[in-house]
Amino acid sequence: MTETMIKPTTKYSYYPGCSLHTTAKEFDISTRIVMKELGIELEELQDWSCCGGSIAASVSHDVGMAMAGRNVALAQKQNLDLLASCSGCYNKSARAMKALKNPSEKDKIMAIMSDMGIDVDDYNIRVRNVVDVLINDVDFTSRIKKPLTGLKVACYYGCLLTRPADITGWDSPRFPTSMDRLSEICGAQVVDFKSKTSCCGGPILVSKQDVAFDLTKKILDEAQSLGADCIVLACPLCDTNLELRQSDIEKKYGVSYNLPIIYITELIGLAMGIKPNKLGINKHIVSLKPLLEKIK
Amino acid sequence: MVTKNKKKKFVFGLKQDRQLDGDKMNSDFMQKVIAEGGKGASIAACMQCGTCSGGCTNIDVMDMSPRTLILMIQRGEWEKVLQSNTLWMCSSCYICTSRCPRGVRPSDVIEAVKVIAIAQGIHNDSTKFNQIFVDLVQKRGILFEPELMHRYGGLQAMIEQAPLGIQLVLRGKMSPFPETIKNPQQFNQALQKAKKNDGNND
Repeated sequence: MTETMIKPTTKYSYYPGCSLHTTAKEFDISTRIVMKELGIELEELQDWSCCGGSIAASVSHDVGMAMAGRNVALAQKQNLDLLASCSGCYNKSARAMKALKNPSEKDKIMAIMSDMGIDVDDYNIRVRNVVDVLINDVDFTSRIKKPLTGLKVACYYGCLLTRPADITGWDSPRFPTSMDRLSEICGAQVVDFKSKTSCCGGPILVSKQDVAFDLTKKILDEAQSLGADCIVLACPLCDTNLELRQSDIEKKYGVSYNLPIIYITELIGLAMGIKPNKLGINKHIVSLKPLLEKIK
Repeated sequence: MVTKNKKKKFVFGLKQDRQLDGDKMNSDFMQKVIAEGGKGASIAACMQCGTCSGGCTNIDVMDMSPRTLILMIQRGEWEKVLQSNTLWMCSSCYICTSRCPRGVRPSDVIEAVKVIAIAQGIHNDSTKFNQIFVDLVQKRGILFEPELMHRYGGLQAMIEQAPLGIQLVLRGKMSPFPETIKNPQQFNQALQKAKKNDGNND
């Protein structure tokens, strides 16, 4: 297999979103460097705004759609497919794209965007996620310089990367395999992770913390019991629960995990032989040192 | 009872206003929910199979299962629906929506009912958080998390979150200065107008 087998889109309008500029900076850094290495150019979406997450449309449907639709319109203006790393930004942008193609919704959303000073009529770009592009558009097998032999990983997809399928559609909503396959290409050993599509309770983390912690604990428990060295994911909100709240969960339940959480782009970057610090791996709250030791 | 009329009152399969409990259906309420759900939800199609409840992430802590919630919406049981904690326990995981054999999209239905509940003046921790979240995104176009924590949880939340906040700042993952889009005023005004119009439709 050669890299030229499938000719991918080589330039994207890249939408980082709020999280990738703050708590998930390493996801931003690693996305940029890995895509650059693979010859895919990312032009940051100019003047992007928050997609509204899972919350905006539950306060006002139109507000939620316009918030997410704005970024799609801006990408359309740049005439480039929109690429998001964050599962949430990706999902909500794709949802807005679908609404903008729906005649019964389009006018209402476009009227709000027009008030924002954005007038775009025709929508023909695509909304993609970085995992989708990495598994379906490029073949980086030949670029693996440091196979992650011996590393046991649990791939966690969560919700918004693959559900609902009429919005996502490139991987199974029940038994997704894209990140498993990417990790295997990297040389890692993938464990059979039953919680891979469970919900971590992200949107209710603040308002119903106990419920969210219970959900997150189940995911961490299974990964630990399978002997995984880390959890691989592509969602900053899942990371907030699994990594940033890991010590709170340890305290609350009297357990100990110390389980590294790593973004899929970081894992690929490591296997491609990119220096850990260049991928932002030093920015994790739960240290990735044990993992780095193992693949040395 | 077999009717000899040419106009059949019930046939198996999808019929908009006559499914299970068709005699008890209240189309006014359903229409309202459908309007808020961006017309993506086809509530009347629910045949009460319970697949949504079977897969639901948080059914253990809900006082009404998603299946029951849909039934109550079909029947127009306003109070039961709006008072239910199911609305606020739902973590929008879309498992129900991806498994529903009738295309009901329970996640979108719940999302739409949340909008109505807020418009009806239901107030709790979740509505408070959701409204502050949207207000802050409207204000700058980009969310500034420390402000969200402060507005939602007050000083106490800030103190509780301080150790994590410090770690994030040290790793360059949190800035004390919020980011904004180029023209936040225009963005805010457009969305405020949209919110108002959305409310008027109810």
